[in-house]
Amino acid sequence: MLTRREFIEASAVTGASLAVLGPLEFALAKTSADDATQSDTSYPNICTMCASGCGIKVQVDERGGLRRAVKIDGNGADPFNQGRLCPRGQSGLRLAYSPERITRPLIRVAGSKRGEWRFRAASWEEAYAYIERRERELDIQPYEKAIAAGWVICAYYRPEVVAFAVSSEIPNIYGTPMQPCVTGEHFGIDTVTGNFNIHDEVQADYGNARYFLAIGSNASVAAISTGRALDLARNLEKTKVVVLDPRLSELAAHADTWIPIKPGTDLAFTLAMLHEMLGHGYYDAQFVAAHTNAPFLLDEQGQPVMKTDPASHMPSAFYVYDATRGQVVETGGVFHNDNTVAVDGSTVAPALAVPQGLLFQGKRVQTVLQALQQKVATFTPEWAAAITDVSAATIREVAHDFGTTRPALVEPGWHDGRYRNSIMLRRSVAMLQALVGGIDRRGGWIFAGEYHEMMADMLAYLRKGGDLQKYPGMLVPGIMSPQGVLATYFDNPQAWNHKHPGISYAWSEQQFSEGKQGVAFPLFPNLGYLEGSKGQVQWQGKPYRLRSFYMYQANPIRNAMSSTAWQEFLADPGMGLVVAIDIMPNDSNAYADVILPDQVYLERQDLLFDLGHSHQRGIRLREPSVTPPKGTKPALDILSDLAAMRGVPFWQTVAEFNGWDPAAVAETAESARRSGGSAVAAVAEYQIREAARAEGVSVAQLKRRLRRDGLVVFDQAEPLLARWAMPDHLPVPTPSGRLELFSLITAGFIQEHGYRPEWDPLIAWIPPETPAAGGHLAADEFFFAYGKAPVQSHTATANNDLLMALSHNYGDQYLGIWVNPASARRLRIGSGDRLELRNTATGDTVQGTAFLTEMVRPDTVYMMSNFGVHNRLLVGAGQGTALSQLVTARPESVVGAPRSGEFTVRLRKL
Amino acid sequence: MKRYGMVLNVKTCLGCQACVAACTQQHDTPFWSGNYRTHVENVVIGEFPDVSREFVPRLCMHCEDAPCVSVCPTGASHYIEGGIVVVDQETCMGCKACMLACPYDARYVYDAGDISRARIVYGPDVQQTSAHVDKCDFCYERLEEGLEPACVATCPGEARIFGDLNDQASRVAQLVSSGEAVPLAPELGTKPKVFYIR
Repeated sequence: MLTRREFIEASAVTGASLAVLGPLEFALAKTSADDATQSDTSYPNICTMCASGCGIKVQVDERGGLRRAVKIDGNGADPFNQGRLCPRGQSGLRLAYSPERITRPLIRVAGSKRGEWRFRAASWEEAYAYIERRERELDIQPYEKAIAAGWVICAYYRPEVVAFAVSSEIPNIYGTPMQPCVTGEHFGIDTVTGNFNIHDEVQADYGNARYFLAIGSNASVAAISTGRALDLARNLEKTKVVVLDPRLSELAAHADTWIPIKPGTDLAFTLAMLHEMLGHGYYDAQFVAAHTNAPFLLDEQGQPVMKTDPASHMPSAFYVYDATRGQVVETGGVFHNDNTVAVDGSTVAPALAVPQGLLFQGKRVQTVLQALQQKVATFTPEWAAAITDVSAATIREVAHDFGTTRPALVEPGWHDGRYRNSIMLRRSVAMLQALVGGIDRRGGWIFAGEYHEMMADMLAYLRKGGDLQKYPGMLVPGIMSPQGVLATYFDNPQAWNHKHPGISYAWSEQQFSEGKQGVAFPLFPNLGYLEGSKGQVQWQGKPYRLRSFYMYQANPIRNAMSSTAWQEFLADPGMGLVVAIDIMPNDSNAYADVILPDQVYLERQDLLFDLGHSHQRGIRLREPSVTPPKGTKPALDILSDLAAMRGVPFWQTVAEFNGWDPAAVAETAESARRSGGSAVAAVAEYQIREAARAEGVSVAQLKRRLRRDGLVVFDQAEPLLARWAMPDHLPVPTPSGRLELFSLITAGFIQEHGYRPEWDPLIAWIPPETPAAGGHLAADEFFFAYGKAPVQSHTATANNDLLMALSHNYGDQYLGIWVNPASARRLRIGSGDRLELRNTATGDTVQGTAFLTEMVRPDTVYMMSNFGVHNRLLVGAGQGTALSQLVTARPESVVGAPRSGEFTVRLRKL
Repeated sequence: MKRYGMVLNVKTCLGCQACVAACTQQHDTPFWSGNYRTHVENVVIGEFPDVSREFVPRLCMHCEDAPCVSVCPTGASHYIEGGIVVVDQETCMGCKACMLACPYDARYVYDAGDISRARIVYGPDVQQTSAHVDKCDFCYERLEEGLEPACVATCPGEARIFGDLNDQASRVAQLVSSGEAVPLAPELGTKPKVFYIR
């Protein structure tokens, strides 16, 4: 049944693509597909060189029972990358076979200093015993421990790591991608779409847009997420591409219009777009009235007029003005998606503007859209032109073209230098996308396939009378999931036997109580970690500090800014134990006392995953494609061992979080572990059985297809959108279920902490703390920007001989500091000169090599972000410049993201 | 008779070097020496803000009148079926006459040091076993298996299009005959079988 449906859909897709091929290509494509299915020396896997998670096929050389990877190609069965693969993905095997690979547990040599890299090999038993003994001798309490989880963990193992922490009574998780990576921008998107947009929940439909506006974020497409790049490349001829970026990026190189905007002022540009679009009606009024909260009524204080359910504290009704009846009517509360139906079932024409002077419940009211229009009234193109260095005419043209072309797409964003206004910028971007009706529709932002199923499942549960409080937290779609996890555990001292909340929450509360800047939504940040070690964080009148630190494929010294402070934190004698779970040496695990060797993704057994970024719904399985080195373990089995050593119900908690049968999963995992097998493999078997049952297919058939293709698609994108598009058919995961032009989440921050423009529930201008919005640069002073090149994979590039060689092909364009030749002449800087860069906000300094280029604004210097590693064991050691050394974090106040771009630098020729 | 050719679409090349990574690992070439069978040039023209940037993939042009073949004293550089120019690594004596003759700078020396390093980097079954002058061979071994060249199969920008120029229904033939795809420096008269869409 399943096979037949998929077969028909697959052949429809294949037919479409073959129509553009000539006979020879047809022959090649045909034999290529046949070859892929018949080959027995190629195994499917999921790339983990970046967060895109492309499908791969690993060609292996198999002899003597050992499999060794010889080449990695794209997996033609994967609907995301469709058989293609970027240079990072192809270089994954160089990571596995690096001579510096860690293949045995390591214990730091007695008498050595952290950071020196002096380790001795040990057995697993000895390494585990060392950890246990050390924590017992120092009497380290669970709340004094923290887990720093790297981006791989964030992308794939969130439920497992949260379950490990919660079951182990550890209230501190530093999710390195949360605060320094995505949350510091995407939270702004989440406030509109409700989508907890980490890496994989929106894949913009680059392939079907007719107008594409990218604001920075070169990482999304050109530098390079294979499926995204492929979609855009196929559509380049048909779409108008406009790129705002202070440098001529790989993406800007392909733009119809490149707008080299002044760094840090993007928000002024988007505010002026909103001004123009709202003022001239350049938006999809029908969509906005039906599916956003634009027609909701606000009172004179700017508060939404609504009913709240006393038991759940959730909104039970909102109010709109029905243009047909000429009166205010009630529209559905939480998890409703359509304003054209009133609570009583009658049809409504929700007005975007109410008659002047309308009174409701004795209060003068207006709509959210009217309030928004007032907010942006002063943000004229002329106002923005003076700030952005972009002409008012250009801003008008972009606003007009974006607002009147369908479908229009604005890049959701991946990573750029962070400012105090970055979250508000992304909020404004999500508003632009909502205004043109481009949410979960072709050519707009399309949620990942899995995401729809999560919402449909939760709604079905609630409609049957289920209690949201009892619904498994990890199965709640969107931003309410982490909100719930924080409120239940990490911000809640009562959740723990030791009655300590996370140190970041303690730090933030202390800041607020002392009248200093705290953080409204500390979602797994490192706030308070460094301060705690200096005795600056208190809880219940006693010092709160971390004394045991676990880094799970995390490299905070290079990936989290403030490198010097991290070095001090890890080297501090008060830090009793540093454990790293890792594959390769890096700059942070050099400070470990114990290193436990994890496996490269090519070698690893994993739990079942969904299809990640894809618009389709289905499952993916990762099984070892190649033989792992003896002495390594998949990290989830390492967590499993650590939990068992401490008598912690790890797998039971994992099961509870995922809505599985806790007793069955715990028994399955434990019996596998006790018999020396992999708990992960056993749990994956359980998941496959459950998936087979849910989809009505045989376990054997499902396994066979997973092993052959690496994945199984249950629903193609078109039928899925026809059934479950959000908000066309299902609510979006905001508290109201609508796209929120007025954010109920940030309105809550005002109630808790008072007003700040950073959490204005509508929109606000937040000037950058640089001379960009008025002021002058000194002769040797520049704005600062950084970004990502196609060969960069966080710090994995510097561990990879092939990627470093490919980086050198572009020389100082990748490894140096970009300076415009006109500015360089003024400062007598020549190509290849060594420079010192000094951060004028923090005093941090770093050195680099001048790369003179016309591709950057004369008032801006630019660099790539992931070079400059220090560990001498790495192939990239000493090459390029370390961003984290130039940037002391200085957290902003919404999520605590480091303001990694909000400063100027002074250049000095050495 | 087949006449293989390639069209490179500069309009969609993103400069990501996926092709370089694919070629390098398909043919065990010496990336540590900075030598590749294909590479991508980053061409920047103009002054800020009137500046343009293009990525131009480069490889052997598989010329029909290839000077490298005519100057080769040993016959190591020769044509095989489909008009593909290849170098036989056993026959090549490393005189580099072909490198001087090639107007497209498409060749490099795979030297003895690289050969011994390759055994460490790629394992004992490395394909390159003796020092020689090396270049693109359109992945003819993959073609025999019905696969496209490695660089073509992986390109995330679909900027590389491969096929039989003698087959008028093929996309490469159509792009060339319509004039949309043109050779680099045709005035050199070597009749390249690699074409560019600019």
